Amino acid sequence: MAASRKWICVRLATFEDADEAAFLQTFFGRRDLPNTAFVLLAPDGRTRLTRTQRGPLGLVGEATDDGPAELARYLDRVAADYQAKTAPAALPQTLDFRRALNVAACDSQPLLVLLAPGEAGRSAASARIAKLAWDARYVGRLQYAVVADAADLEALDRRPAGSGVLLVEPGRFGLTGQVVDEIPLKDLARLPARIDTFLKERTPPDKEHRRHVRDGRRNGIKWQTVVPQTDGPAAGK
Amino acid sequence: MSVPRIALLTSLLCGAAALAGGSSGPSTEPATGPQIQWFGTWDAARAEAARTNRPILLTSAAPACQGVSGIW
Repeated sequence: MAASRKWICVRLATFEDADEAAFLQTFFGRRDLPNTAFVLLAPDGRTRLTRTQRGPLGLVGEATDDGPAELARYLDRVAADYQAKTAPAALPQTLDFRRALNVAACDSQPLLVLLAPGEAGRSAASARIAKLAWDARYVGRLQYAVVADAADLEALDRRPAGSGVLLVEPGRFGLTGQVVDEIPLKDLARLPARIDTFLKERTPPDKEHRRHVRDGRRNGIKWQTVVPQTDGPAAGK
Repeated sequence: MSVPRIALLTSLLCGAAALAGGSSGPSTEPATGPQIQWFGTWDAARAEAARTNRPILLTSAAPACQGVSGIW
């Protein structure tokens, strides 16, 4: 985890946004966009530090049981070439609520949703939440989404009372969410204590890959990608 | 895909133990502690990398397996 803090880590959701898919495709040329991608880039966002591959193991060798530790050391060595000016401060939000809810379920993490119709209020509240997101107590423990219209939150079990921050427990398949707490924008000072209590009391779901997929298929769960899949079973590969 | 590859990729995507020096099996384990803090959009990540002069670890994955959501 310490190695990751020296990097700006970005995880895109393949096949979930046309622009991002087009961006990812630039790393693969004429080849079909694969399900997973991994590449290290310089701070300019253009200079590739590694070749693009499907996963990180190519950096450290696949025939080793010490892969994670080797990867951490590798990342430390590369990051040492760059003198960080300052710490990350932007809100690490997911592109939209639909994706954020699913990603939160994938990570078995709670989702913090900022609902604020007005641009000024949304921007100010985002900045306050971003400070929390990078606080040592919360970094890497929550997912974030920002929403301007409550109509986008139909997947939640209840309608928000108004502008504010929602603490959401994602459903098992990331298609629904339970509003655990709702804090009005005027009461944002209470948010850290509410998050503390929530994280302390919460029991993350115990998710096993094969069982999850089997149960999902039995229950008719079907995730619709935004752009056509070009990899994996859905693409006939 | 070999078990080590699955384990490391799963760990990385979930932000679990891959960068902590630990190891994990291919199952997705309960997220009890801090994981990698991911940016979820390229524009925000690129801007923050430029502002902070930090290199970028870019990964992408489908948030569904065999059409079933809620799992990487």
